Amino acid sequence: MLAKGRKALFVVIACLFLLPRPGFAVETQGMDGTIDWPSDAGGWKKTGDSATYRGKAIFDYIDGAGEVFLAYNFKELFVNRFEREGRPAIIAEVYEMGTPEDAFGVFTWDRQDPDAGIGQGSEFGGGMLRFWKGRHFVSIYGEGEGNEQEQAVLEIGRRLASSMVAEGEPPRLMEALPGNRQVADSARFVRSHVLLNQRCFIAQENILGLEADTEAVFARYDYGKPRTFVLLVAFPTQGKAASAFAAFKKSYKLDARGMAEAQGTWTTATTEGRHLIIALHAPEKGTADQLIDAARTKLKEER
Amino acid sequence: MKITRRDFLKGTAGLAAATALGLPAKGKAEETAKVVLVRDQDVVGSDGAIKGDVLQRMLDEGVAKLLDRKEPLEAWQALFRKSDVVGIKSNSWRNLPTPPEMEEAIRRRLLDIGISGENMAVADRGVYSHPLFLRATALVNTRPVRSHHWSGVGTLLKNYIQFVPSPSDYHPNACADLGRIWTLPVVKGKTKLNCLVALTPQFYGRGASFFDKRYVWPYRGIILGIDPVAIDAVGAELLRLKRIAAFGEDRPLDVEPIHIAEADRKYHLGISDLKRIQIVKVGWMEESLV
Repeated sequence: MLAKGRKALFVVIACLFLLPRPGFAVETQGMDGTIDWPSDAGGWKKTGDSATYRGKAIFDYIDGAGEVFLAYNFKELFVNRFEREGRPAIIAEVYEMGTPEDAFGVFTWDRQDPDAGIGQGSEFGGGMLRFWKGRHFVSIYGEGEGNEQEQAVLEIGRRLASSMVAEGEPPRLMEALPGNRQVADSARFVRSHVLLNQRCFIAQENILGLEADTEAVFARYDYGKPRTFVLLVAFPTQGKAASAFAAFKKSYKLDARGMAEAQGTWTTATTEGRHLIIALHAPEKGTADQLIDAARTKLKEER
Repeated sequence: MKITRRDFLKGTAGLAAATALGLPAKGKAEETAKVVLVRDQDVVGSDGAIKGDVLQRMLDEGVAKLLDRKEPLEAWQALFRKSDVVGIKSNSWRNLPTPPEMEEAIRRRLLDIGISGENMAVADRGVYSHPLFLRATALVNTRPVRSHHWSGVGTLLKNYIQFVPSPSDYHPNACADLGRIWTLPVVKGKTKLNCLVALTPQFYGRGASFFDKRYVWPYRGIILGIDPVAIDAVGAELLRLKRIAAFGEDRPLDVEPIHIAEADRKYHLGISDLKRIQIVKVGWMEESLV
Protein backbone atom coordinates (compact mmCIF):
# COMPACT_ATOMS: atom_id res chain seq x y z
CA MET A 1 0.00 0.00 0.00
CA LEU A 2 2.78 2.37 0.99
CA ALA A 3 4.78 1.34 -2.06
CA LYS A 4 1.78 2.03 -4.31
CA GLY A 5 1.36 5.50 -2.72
CA ARG A 6 5.00 6.36 -3.28
CA LYS A 7 4.73 5.21 -6.87
CA ALA A 8 1.67 7.39 -7.45
CA LEU A 9 3.43 10.39 -5.86
CA PHE A 10 6.44 9.83 -8.14
CA VAL A 11 4.18 9.77 -11.21
CA VAL A 12 2.48 13.01 -10.15
CA ILE A 13 5.83 14.75 -9.57
CA ALA A 14 7.18 13.45 -12.87
CA CYS A 15 4.08 14.74 -14.68
CA LEU A 16 4.49 18.16 -13.04
CA PHE A 17 8.03 18.35 -14.45
CA LEU A 18 6.75 17.47 -17.89
CA LEU A 19 4.03 20.14 -17.92
CA PRO A 20 4.60 23.11 -20.22
CA ARG A 21 6.03 26.22 -18.60
CA PRO A 22 3.75 29.26 -18.35
CA GLY A 23 3.96 31.76 -21.19
CA PHE A 24 4.53 29.40 -24.07
CA ALA A 25 4.34 25.70 -24.65
CA VAL A 26 7.61 23.82 -24.75
CA GLU A 27 8.80 20.27 -24.89
CA THR A 28 12.13 18.89 -23.84
CA GLN A 29 14.15 17.34 -26.59
CA GLY A 30 17.01 14.83 -26.24
CA MET A 31 20.47 16.17 -26.88
CA ASP A 32 22.09 17.38 -23.66
CA GLY A 33 18.73 17.90 -22.00
CA THR A 34 18.93 21.67 -22.18
CA ILE A 35 17.15 22.31 -25.46
CA ASP A 36 13.51 23.28 -25.32
CA TRP A 37 11.79 23.34 -28.67
CA PRO A 38 8.98 25.89 -28.89
CA SER A 39 5.76 24.21 -29.92
CA ASP A 40 4.68 27.25 -31.90
CA ALA A 41 5.75 30.73 -33.02
CA GLY A 42 3.73 33.40 -34.81
CA GLY A 43 1.06 30.88 -35.82
CA TRP A 44 3.50 28.23 -37.10
CA LYS A 45 3.16 25.00 -35.10
CA LYS A 46 5.80 22.35 -34.68
CA THR A 47 4.81 19.11 -36.35
CA GLY A 48 5.87 15.74 -34.99
CA ASP A 49 9.11 14.80 -33.30
CA SER A 50 12.60 15.83 -34.24
CA ALA A 51 14.25 14.01 -37.08
CA THR A 52 17.74 13.12 -35.89
CA TYR A 53 20.92 12.42 -37.83
CA ARG A 54 24.03 11.18 -36.05
CA GLY A 55 27.58 11.23 -37.40
CA LYS A 56 27.84 10.43 -41.10
CA ALA A 57 24.08 10.04 -41.36
CA ILE A 58 24.15 13.82 -41.86
CA PHE A 59 24.79 13.03 -45.54
CA ASP A 60 21.26 11.64 -45.70
CA TYR A 61 19.97 15.10 -44.83
CA ILE A 62 22.27 17.55 -46.57
CA ASP A 63 24.34 15.51 -49.00
CA GLY A 64 27.86 16.80 -49.52
CA ALA A 65 27.35 19.82 -47.27
CA GLY A 66 27.61 17.35 -44.40
CA GLU A 67 31.35 17.27 -45.00
CA VAL A 68 31.64 20.83 -43.70
CA PHE A 69 29.99 19.89 -40.40
CA LEU A 70 31.99 16.67 -40.06
CA ALA A 71 35.13 18.77 -40.42
CA TYR A 72 34.05 20.52 -37.20
CA ASN A 73 33.52 17.37 -35.12
CA PHE A 74 29.79 17.16 -35.80
CA LYS A 75 27.89 14.90 -33.38
CA GLU A 76 24.17 15.05 -34.03
CA LEU A 77 21.54 17.03 -35.90
CA PHE A 78 17.95 17.64 -34.80
CA VAL A 79 15.47 18.93 -37.36
CA ASN A 80 11.96 20.19 -36.76
CA ARG A 81 9.33 21.47 -39.12
CA PHE A 82 6.85 24.23 -38.26
CA GLU A 83 3.68 24.56 -40.31
CA ARG A 84 0.85 27.04 -40.65
CA GLU A 85 -2.15 26.50 -42.85
CA GLY A 86 -1.83 28.11 -46.24
CA ARG A 87 1.75 29.24 -45.58
CA PRO A 88 5.13 27.76 -46.48
CA ALA A 89 6.83 25.79 -43.71
CA ILE A 90 9.71 26.81 -41.45
CA ILE A 91 12.58 24.38 -40.94
CA ALA A 92 14.72 24.55 -37.80
CA GLU A 93 17.99 22.65 -37.51
CA VAL A 94 20.06 22.34 -34.34
CA TYR A 95 23.55 20.89 -34.85
CA GLU A 96 25.41 19.57 -31.85
CA MET A 97 29.11 20.04 -32.48
CA GLY A 98 32.11 18.62 -30.63
CA THR A 99 33.08 21.83 -28.82
CA PRO A 100 32.02 25.48 -28.69
CA GLU A 101 35.04 26.22 -30.87
CA ASP A 102 33.58 23.89 -33.52
CA ALA A 103 30.17 25.59 -33.32
CA PHE A 104 31.90 28.96 -33.69
CA GLY A 105 33.94 27.59 -36.60
CA VAL A 106 31.02 26.29 -38.62
CA PHE A 107 29.10 29.53 -38.00
CA THR A 108 31.91 31.86 -39.07
CA TRP A 109 32.82 29.73 -42.07
CA ASP A 110 29.77 30.94 -43.91
CA ARG A 111 29.06 34.41 -42.49
CA GLN A 112 27.67 37.05 -44.85
CA ASP A 113 24.61 38.77 -43.38
CA PRO A 114 23.90 41.31 -40.58
CA ASP A 115 23.85 40.29 -36.93
CA ALA A 116 20.46 39.37 -35.45
CA GLY A 117 21.55 39.59 -31.80
CA ILE A 118 20.71 35.96 -31.05
CA GLY A 119 22.98 33.45 -29.32
CA GLN A 120 26.70 34.17 -29.13
CA GLY A 121 26.94 35.21 -32.75
CA SER A 122 24.28 35.34 -35.42
CA GLU A 123 23.26 36.54 -38.85
CA PHE A 124 19.93 36.95 -40.56
CA GLY A 125 19.31 37.39 -44.27
CA GLY A 126 17.10 36.03 -47.02
CA GLY A 127 14.71 34.63 -44.43
CA MET A 128 17.45 32.50 -42.88
CA LEU A 129 18.70 32.82 -39.29
CA ARG A 130 22.03 31.26 -38.31
CA PHE A 131 23.58 31.44 -34.86
CA TRP A 132 25.88 29.59 -32.48
CA LYS A 133 25.76 29.18 -28.74
CA GLY A 134 27.86 26.81 -26.68
CA ARG A 135 28.30 23.58 -28.61
CA HIS A 136 25.31 24.33 -30.81
CA PHE A 137 25.04 25.73 -34.29
CA VAL A 138 21.49 26.57 -35.37
CA SER A 139 20.00 27.27 -38.78
CA ILE A 140 16.34 28.27 -39.22
CA TYR A 141 14.71 29.25 -42.49
CA GLY A 142 11.30 29.73 -44.00
CA GLU A 143 10.42 28.08 -47.27
CA GLY A 144 8.45 31.17 -48.26
CA GLU A 145 8.83 34.90 -47.80
CA GLY A 146 7.29 37.79 -45.90
CA ASN A 147 7.61 39.66 -42.64
CA GLU A 148 5.34 37.36 -40.65
CA GLN A 149 7.42 34.33 -41.48
CA GLU A 150 10.66 36.19 -40.80
CA GLN A 151 9.40 37.20 -37.35
CA ALA A 152 8.43 33.60 -36.63
CA VAL A 153 11.90 32.42 -37.68
CA LEU A 154 13.50 34.94 -35.32
CA GLU A 155 11.11 33.98 -32.50
CA ILE A 156 11.97 30.29 -32.82
CA GLY A 157 15.63 31.24 -32.80
CA ARG A 158 15.34 33.39 -29.67
CA ARG A 159 13.51 30.65 -27.79
CA LEU A 160 16.00 27.98 -28.79
CA ALA A 161 18.91 30.22 -27.83
CA SER A 162 17.42 31.06 -24.45
CA SER A 163 16.99 27.36 -23.70
CA MET A 164 20.66 26.67 -24.39
CA VAL A 165 22.13 27.30 -20.96
CA ALA A 166 25.80 26.59 -21.59
CA GLU A 167 27.90 29.11 -23.45
CA GLY A 168 31.39 28.72 -24.87
CA GLU A 169 34.31 30.73 -26.15
CA PRO A 170 35.68 31.17 -29.66
CA PRO A 171 39.09 29.53 -30.14
CA ARG A 172 41.69 31.44 -28.07
CA LEU A 173 44.08 31.06 -30.97
CA MET A 174 42.07 33.68 -32.87
CA GLU A 175 43.47 36.30 -30.51
CA ALA A 176 46.99 35.54 -31.65
CA LEU A 177 46.29 36.65 -35.22
CA PRO A 178 47.92 40.05 -35.82
CA GLY A 179 45.31 42.81 -35.76
CA ASN A 180 47.05 45.40 -37.90
CA ARG A 181 45.74 45.45 -41.51
CA GLN A 182 43.57 42.37 -40.88
CA VAL A 183 40.68 42.36 -43.38
CA ALA A 184 37.33 42.58 -41.56
CA ASP A 185 35.47 39.24 -41.22
CA SER A 186 38.29 37.34 -42.92
CA ALA A 187 39.39 35.38 -39.82
CA ARG A 188 38.40 31.71 -39.87
CA PHE A 189 38.88 28.66 -37.67
CA VAL A 190 39.29 25.22 -39.26
CA ARG A 191 40.48 21.73 -38.49
CA SER A 192 40.38 20.41 -42.06
CA HIS A 193 42.96 21.04 -44.78
CA VAL A 194 40.21 20.78 -47.40
CA LEU A 195 38.36 23.69 -45.84
CA LEU A 196 41.61 25.59 -45.27
CA ASN A 197 42.46 25.26 -48.96
CA GLN A 198 39.12 26.73 -49.98
CA ARG A 199 39.96 30.10 -48.41
CA CYS A 200 43.72 29.97 -48.01
CA PHE A 201 45.40 27.47 -50.31
CA ILE A 202 48.42 25.72 -48.83
CA ALA A 203 48.90 22.51 -50.81
CA GLN A 204 46.76 19.89 -52.44
CA GLU A 205 47.99 17.27 -49.97
CA ASN A 206 47.51 17.65 -46.23
CA ILE A 207 51.17 18.55 -45.70
CA LEU A 208 50.53 20.24 -42.34
CA GLY A 209 48.77 17.17 -40.98
CA LEU A 210 45.56 18.91 -39.92
CA GLU A 211 43.28 16.53 -38.04
CA ALA A 212 40.32 16.63 -35.68
CA ASP A 213 42.61 17.47 -32.76
CA THR A 214 44.46 20.34 -34.46
CA GLU A 215 43.27 23.93 -34.50
CA ALA A 216 44.08 26.30 -37.32
CA VAL A 217 43.14 29.96 -37.62
CA PHE A 218 43.89 32.31 -40.45
CA ALA A 219 43.06 35.79 -41.66
CA ARG A 220 43.74 37.87 -44.75
CA TYR A 221 45.78 41.08 -44.58
CA ASP A 222 45.35 44.13 -46.73
CA TYR A 223 48.60 44.99 -48.48
CA GLY A 224 47.08 45.87 -51.83
CA LYS A 225 47.12 43.29 -54.58
CA PRO A 226 48.75 40.20 -53.04
CA ARG A 227 46.44 37.92 -51.07
CA THR A 228 48.48 37.97 -47.88
CA PHE A 229 47.51 35.54 -45.12
CA VAL A 230 48.68 34.64 -41.64
CA LEU A 231 48.00 31.04 -40.63
CA LEU A 232 48.47 29.73 -37.09
CA VAL A 233 48.18 26.04 -36.30
CA ALA A 234 48.08 24.61 -32.78
CA PHE A 235 49.18 20.95 -32.65
CA PRO A 236 48.72 18.57 -29.73
CA THR A 237 52.50 18.22 -29.41
CA GLN A 238 55.66 20.18 -30.20
CA GLY A 239 56.85 17.23 -32.30
CA LYS A 240 53.86 17.46 -34.63
CA ALA A 241 54.43 21.20 -35.04
CA ALA A 242 58.05 20.51 -35.98
CA SER A 243 57.02 17.87 -38.52
CA ALA A 244 54.50 20.22 -40.10
CA PHE A 245 57.11 22.97 -40.27
CA ALA A 246 59.55 20.60 -41.98
CA ALA A 247 56.93 19.55 -44.53
CA PHE A 248 55.98 23.15 -45.25
CA LYS A 249 59.63 24.19 -45.53
CA LYS A 250 60.25 21.44 -48.08
CA SER A 251 57.09 22.10 -50.08
CA TYR A 252 57.63 25.87 -50.27
CA LYS A 253 61.43 25.56 -50.61
CA LEU A 254 62.11 27.90 -47.70
CA ASP A 255 65.74 28.95 -47.29
CA ALA A 256 67.86 28.65 -44.14
CA ARG A 257 66.09 31.71 -42.71
CA GLY A 258 62.72 30.05 -43.38
CA MET A 259 61.87 32.44 -46.23
CA ALA A 260 60.91 31.96 -49.88
CA GLU A 261 60.11 34.36 -52.70
CA ALA A 262 57.69 33.47 -55.49
CA GLN A 263 56.04 35.72 -58.07
CA GLY A 264 57.06 38.84 -56.19
CA THR A 265 55.64 37.81 -52.81
CA TRP A 266 57.31 36.43 -49.70
CA THR A 267 56.33 33.43 -47.62
CA THR A 268 57.86 32.49 -44.30
CA ALA A 269 57.21 30.14 -41.40
CA THR A 270 58.44 29.29 -37.94
CA THR A 271 57.41 27.38 -34.87
CA GLU A 272 56.64 28.60 -31.38
CA GLY A 273 56.27 25.71 -28.97
CA ARG A 274 53.49 23.50 -30.32
CA HIS A 275 52.41 26.22 -32.74
CA LEU A 276 53.27 26.69 -36.39
CA ILE A 277 53.16 30.26 -37.71
CA ILE A 278 53.02 30.96 -41.44
CA ALA A 279 52.89 34.28 -43.30
CA LEU A 280 51.84 33.71 -46.91
CA HIS A 281 52.34 35.96 -49.92
CA ALA A 282 53.51 39.11 -48.12
CA PRO A 283 54.46 41.95 -50.48
CA GLU A 284 57.87 42.48 -48.83
CA LYS A 285 60.34 40.35 -46.97
CA GLY A 286 60.11 42.75 -44.03
CA THR A 287 56.33 42.53 -43.99
CA ALA A 288 56.46 38.73 -43.75
CA ASP A 289 58.85 39.03 -40.80
CA GLN A 290 56.63 41.62 -39.10
CA LEU A 291 53.56 39.42 -39.39
CA ILE A 292 55.39 36.41 -37.95
CA ASP A 293 56.82 38.50 -35.09
CA ALA A 294 53.41 39.97 -34.27
CA ALA A 295 51.84 36.51 -34.10
CA ARG A 296 54.69 35.07 -32.07
CA THR A 297 54.49 37.92 -29.55
CA LYS A 298 50.76 37.37 -29.13
CA LEU A 299 51.23 33.63 -28.70
CA LYS A 300 53.79 34.27 -25.95
CA GLU A 301 51.41 36.69 -24.23
CA GLU A 302 48.70 34.05 -24.34
CA ARG A 303 50.85 31.49 -22.56
CA MET B 1 21.51 2.29 -89.50
CA LYS B 2 22.36 2.93 -85.89
CA ILE B 3 25.33 5.25 -85.50
CA THR B 4 27.37 4.69 -82.37
CA ARG B 5 29.49 7.18 -80.48
CA ARG B 6 32.50 5.04 -81.38
CA ASP B 7 31.69 5.48 -85.05
CA PHE B 8 31.76 9.19 -84.59
CA LEU B 9 34.98 9.25 -82.70
CA LYS B 10 36.57 7.08 -85.37
CA GLY B 11 35.52 9.75 -87.81
CA THR B 12 33.53 7.37 -90.00
CA ALA B 13 30.33 9.32 -89.71
CA GLY B 14 31.83 12.66 -90.54
CA LEU B 15 32.22 16.00 -88.89
CA ALA B 16 28.86 17.45 -89.78
CA ALA B 17 26.91 14.49 -88.47
CA ALA B 18 28.90 14.47 -85.26
CA THR B 19 28.21 18.12 -84.68
CA ALA B 20 24.54 17.48 -85.30
CA LEU B 21 24.52 14.97 -82.46
CA GLY B 22 26.20 17.40 -80.12
CA LEU B 23 29.32 15.29 -79.75
CA PRO B 24 32.72 16.91 -79.87
CA ALA B 25 33.43 16.63 -83.56
CA LYS B 26 36.95 15.51 -84.36
CA GLY B 27 38.67 16.05 -87.66
CA LYS B 28 40.84 18.59 -89.35
CA ALA B 29 38.60 21.43 -88.33
CA GLU B 30 38.64 22.58 -84.70
CA GLU B 31 36.42 20.43 -82.50
CA THR B 32 32.99 21.86 -81.69
CA ALA B 33 30.05 20.83 -79.57
CA LYS B 34 26.35 21.55 -79.81
CA VAL B 35 23.99 22.22 -76.95
CA VAL B 36 20.34 23.18 -77.10
CA LEU B 37 18.81 25.78 -74.82
CA VAL B 38 15.02 25.56 -74.58
CA ARG B 39 13.00 28.12 -72.63
CA ASP B 40 9.30 28.61 -72.11
CA GLN B 41 7.75 31.47 -70.15
CA ASP B 42 4.90 29.26 -68.94
CA VAL B 43 6.87 26.34 -67.53
CA VAL B 44 7.06 27.82 -64.03
CA GLY B 45 3.85 29.28 -62.63
CA SER B 46 3.63 32.40 -60.47
CA ASP B 47 3.32 30.07 -57.47
CA GLY B 48 6.56 28.33 -58.41
CA ALA B 49 4.81 25.17 -59.57
CA ILE B 50 6.30 23.45 -62.60
CA LYS B 51 3.92 22.62 -65.41
CA GLY B 52 4.64 19.09 -66.53
CA ASP B 53 3.00 19.37 -69.93
CA VAL B 54 5.02 22.44 -70.85
CA LEU B 55 8.22 20.82 -69.63
CA GLN B 56 7.45 17.71 -71.70
CA ARG B 57 7.07 19.89 -74.78
CA MET B 58 10.36 21.65 -74.05
CA LEU B 59 12.15 18.34 -73.70
CA ASP B 60 10.64 17.07 -76.95
CA GLU B 61 11.61 20.20 -78.86
CA GLY B 62 15.09 20.16 -77.40
CA VAL B 63 15.87 16.52 -78.16
CA ALA B 64 14.48 16.85 -81.69
CA LYS B 65 16.58 19.96 -82.29
CA LEU B 66 19.66 18.31 -80.79
CA LEU B 67 19.50 15.46 -83.28
CA ASP B 68 18.00 17.49 -86.13
CA ARG B 69 14.87 15.32 -86.33
CA LYS B 70 11.38 16.49 -87.09
CA GLU B 71 9.70 14.15 -84.67
CA PRO B 72 10.88 13.88 -81.07
CA LEU B 73 10.38 10.11 -80.96
CA GLU B 74 12.72 9.70 -83.94
CA ALA B 75 15.36 11.50 -81.96
CA TRP B 76 14.82 9.34 -78.88
CA GLN B 77 15.01 6.25 -81.08
CA ALA B 78 18.34 7.42 -82.44
CA LEU B 79 19.69 7.65 -78.91
CA PHE B 80 18.30 4.47 -77.33
CA ARG B 81 17.53 0.88 -78.29
CA LYS B 82 14.39 -0.91 -77.16
CA SER B 83 16.58 -3.42 -75.39
CA ASP B 84 18.42 -0.78 -73.38
CA VAL B 85 18.40 -0.85 -69.59
CA VAL B 86 18.25 2.83 -68.72
CA GLY B 87 19.28 4.50 -65.48
CA ILE B 88 17.99 8.05 -65.10
CA LYS B 89 20.48 9.74 -62.80
CA SER B 90 18.53 12.39 -60.99
CA ASN B 91 19.36 14.69 -58.09
CA SER B 92 17.41 14.59 -54.85
CA TRP B 93 18.92 17.56 -53.01
CA ARG B 94 15.96 18.65 -50.93
CA ASN B 95 16.18 22.39 -51.62
CA LEU B 96 16.49 22.23 -55.38
CA PRO B 97 15.98 18.69 -56.67
CA THR B 98 15.53 17.51 -60.22
CA PRO B 99 11.82 18.22 -60.66
CA PRO B 100 9.68 15.05 -60.67
CA GLU B 101 8.08 16.48 -63.81
CA MET B 102 11.48 16.27 -65.54
CA GLU B 103 12.01 12.68 -64.44
CA GLU B 104 8.54 11.77 -65.62
CA ALA B 105 8.98 13.49 -69.00
CA ILE B 106 12.12 11.43 -69.66
CA ARG B 107 10.51 8.20 -68.45
CA ARG B 108 7.48 8.76 -70.66
CA ARG B 109 9.54 9.12 -73.83
CA LEU B 110 11.64 6.06 -73.00
CA LEU B 111 8.41 4.09 -72.57
CA ASP B 112 7.10 5.56 -75.82
CA ILE B 113 9.99 4.17 -77.81
CA GLY B 114 9.39 0.71 -76.38
CA ILE B 115 11.77 0.44 -73.44
CA SER B 116 10.19 -1.66 -70.74
CA GLY B 117 9.30 0.04 -67.47
CA GLU B 118 11.09 -2.80 -65.72
CA ASN B 119 14.26 -1.82 -67.52
CA MET B 120 14.45 1.72 -66.27
CA ALA B 121 14.92 3.38 -62.92
CA VAL B 122 15.25 6.89 -61.54
CA ALA B 123 17.69 7.31 -58.66
CA ASP B 124 20.29 9.54 -57.06
CA ARG B 125 21.88 8.38 -53.81
CA GLY B 126 23.05 4.81 -53.82
CA VAL B 127 23.28 4.46 -57.60
CA TYR B 128 26.75 2.93 -57.24
CA SER B 129 25.10 -0.17 -55.77
CA HIS B 130 21.68 0.10 -57.42
CA PRO B 131 20.88 -3.22 -59.16
CA LEU B 132 19.44 -1.62 -62.28
CA PHE B 133 22.15 1.01 -62.59
CA LEU B 134 24.78 -1.70 -62.26
CA ARG B 135 23.38 -3.49 -65.31
CA ALA B 136 22.42 -0.32 -67.20
CA THR B 137 23.37 -0.13 -70.85
CA ALA B 138 22.39 3.52 -71.12
CA LEU B 139 22.15 6.51 -68.80
CA VAL B 140 20.26 9.80 -68.83
CA ASN B 141 21.81 12.46 -66.62
CA THR B 142 19.62 15.27 -65.31
CA ARG B 143 19.93 17.77 -62.48
CA PRO B 144 19.40 21.48 -61.72
CA VAL B 145 22.26 23.92 -62.17
CA ARG B 146 23.26 25.86 -59.05
CA SER B 147 26.18 27.26 -57.12
CA HIS B 148 27.93 24.63 -55.04
CA HIS B 149 30.21 24.83 -52.02
CA TRP B 150 32.64 22.12 -53.10
CA SER B 151 32.65 22.34 -56.87
CA GLY B 152 31.72 26.00 -57.48
CA VAL B 153 28.82 24.95 -59.67
CA GLY B 154 26.58 21.91 -59.29
CA THR B 155 26.90 20.44 -62.75
CA LEU B 156 26.11 17.34 -64.79
CA LEU B 157 29.70 16.23 -64.26
CA LYS B 158 29.20 16.63 -60.52
CA ASN B 159 25.95 14.67 -60.63
CA TYR B 160 27.85 11.40 -61.10
CA ILE B 161 29.60 11.73 -57.75
CA GLN B 162 27.04 9.30 -56.35
CA PHE B 163 28.51 6.57 -58.55
CA VAL B 164 31.38 6.22 -56.08
CA PRO B 165 30.97 4.84 -52.56
CA SER B 166 32.77 7.77 -50.90
CA PRO B 167 31.77 10.99 -52.71
CA SER B 168 33.66 13.22 -50.29
CA ASP B 169 36.93 11.78 -51.65
CA TYR B 170 36.31 14.02 -54.65
CA HIS B 171 35.79 17.24 -52.67
CA PRO B 172 39.42 18.41 -52.36
CA ASN B 173 40.80 20.96 -54.80
CA ALA B 174 37.37 22.19 -55.88
CA CYS B 175 36.35 18.70 -57.04
CA ALA B 176 38.87 19.04 -59.89
CA ASP B 177 38.86 15.30 -60.58
CA LEU B 178 35.14 14.71 -60.99
CA GLY B 179 35.88 13.76 -64.59
CA ARG B 180 37.62 10.62 -63.37
CA ILE B 181 34.26 9.22 -62.25
CA TRP B 182 33.09 9.31 -65.86
CA THR B 183 35.89 6.90 -66.76
CA LEU B 184 34.69 4.22 -64.31
CA PRO B 185 33.12 1.12 -65.90
CA VAL B 186 29.74 1.73 -64.25
CA VAL B 187 29.23 4.89 -66.35
CA LYS B 188 31.90 5.01 -69.04
CA GLY B 189 30.40 5.62 -72.47
CA LYS B 190 26.84 4.97 -71.30
CA THR B 191 25.43 8.49 -71.08
CA LYS B 192 23.19 9.04 -74.08
CA LEU B 193 21.56 12.28 -73.01
CA ASN B 194 22.42 15.07 -70.58
CA CYS B 195 19.84 17.58 -69.42
CA LEU B 196 20.81 20.46 -67.17
CA VAL B 197 17.68 21.87 -65.57
CA ALA B 198 17.72 25.66 -65.46
CA LEU B 199 14.09 26.28 -64.52
CA THR B 200 14.98 28.02 -61.25
CA PRO B 201 18.79 28.06 -60.99
CA GLN B 202 20.72 29.35 -58.00
CA PHE B 203 23.48 31.70 -59.13
CA TYR B 204 25.24 32.42 -55.87
CA GLY B 205 25.67 31.07 -52.38
CA ARG B 206 28.41 30.54 -49.85
CA GLY B 207 29.40 27.94 -47.31
CA ALA B 208 27.62 24.91 -46.00
CA SER B 209 24.18 26.52 -46.23
CA PHE B 210 24.14 26.02 -49.97
CA PHE B 211 20.59 27.12 -50.56
CA ASP B 212 19.64 30.77 -50.48
CA LYS B 213 16.41 31.77 -52.15
CA ARG B 214 17.67 35.33 -52.63
CA TYR B 215 19.86 33.96 -55.38
CA VAL B 216 17.33 31.74 -57.12
CA TRP B 217 15.59 33.10 -60.21
CA PRO B 218 13.00 31.74 -62.63
CA TYR B 219 15.07 31.32 -65.77
CA ARG B 220 12.59 28.79 -67.14
CA GLY B 221 15.03 26.84 -69.25
CA ILE B 222 16.65 23.47 -69.84
CA ILE B 223 20.01 22.88 -71.52
CA LEU B 224 20.35 19.64 -73.46
CA GLY B 225 23.11 17.83 -75.23
CA ILE B 226 25.32 14.81 -75.49
CA ASP B 227 28.53 16.48 -74.34
CA PRO B 228 28.27 17.06 -70.55
CA VAL B 229 31.31 19.33 -70.48
CA ALA B 230 29.87 21.69 -73.07
CA ILE B 231 26.50 21.87 -71.31
CA ASP B 232 28.19 22.48 -67.95
CA ALA B 233 30.36 25.20 -69.44
CA VAL B 234 27.22 26.94 -70.69
CA GLY B 235 25.47 26.42 -67.34
CA ALA B 236 28.41 27.87 -65.40
CA GLU B 237 28.55 30.82 -67.76
CA LEU B 238 24.83 31.40 -67.27
CA LEU B 239 25.32 31.64 -63.48
CA ARG B 240 28.35 33.88 -63.91
CA LEU B 241 26.46 36.30 -66.15
CA LYS B 242 23.55 36.32 -63.72
CA ARG B 243 25.94 37.21 -60.85
CA ILE B 244 27.24 40.11 -62.88
CA ALA B 245 23.69 41.23 -63.67
CA ALA B 246 22.63 40.97 -60.02
CA PHE B 247 25.74 42.28 -58.24
CA GLY B 248 27.35 44.43 -60.90
CA GLU B 249 30.42 42.20 -60.67
CA ASP B 250 31.37 38.53 -60.86
CA ARG B 251 31.24 37.99 -57.13
CA PRO B 252 33.51 35.00 -56.36
CA LEU B 253 31.99 31.67 -55.45
CA ASP B 254 33.49 29.53 -52.68
CA VAL B 255 35.62 27.89 -55.36
CA GLU B 256 35.97 28.26 -59.10
CA PRO B 257 34.26 25.47 -61.09
CA ILE B 258 37.60 24.23 -62.41
CA HIS B 259 36.31 20.67 -62.74
CA ILE B 260 34.65 21.60 -66.04
CA ALA B 261 37.87 22.59 -67.76
CA GLU B 262 39.66 19.66 -66.11
CA ALA B 263 37.08 17.24 -67.53
CA ASP B 264 38.04 18.58 -70.94
CA ARG B 265 41.81 18.95 -70.52
CA LYS B 266 42.59 15.93 -68.38
CA TYR B 267 39.80 13.44 -69.05
CA HIS B 268 38.81 14.42 -72.61
CA LEU B 269 35.12 14.15 -71.84
CA GLY B 270 34.05 17.07 -73.99
CA ILE B 271 34.57 20.71 -74.85
CA SER B 272 34.74 23.45 -72.22
CA ASP B 273 35.78 26.35 -74.45
CA LEU B 274 32.68 28.48 -74.93
CA LYS B 275 33.98 29.74 -78.26
CA ARG B 276 33.72 26.20 -79.59
CA ILE B 277 30.25 25.47 -78.28
CA GLN B 278 27.28 26.13 -80.53
CA ILE B 279 24.20 27.07 -78.51
CA VAL B 280 21.03 26.37 -80.45
CA LYS B 281 18.14 28.33 -78.96
CA VAL B 282 14.53 27.21 -78.95
CA GLY B 283 11.56 29.17 -77.63
CA TRP B 284 11.26 32.28 -75.48
CA MET B 285 14.64 34.01 -75.14
CA GLU B 286 14.01 37.18 -73.14
CA GLU B 287 17.00 37.82 -70.83
CA SER B 288 18.52 34.53 -71.89
CA LEU B 289 21.99 35.85 -70.92
CA VAL B 290 23.86 33.19 -72.89
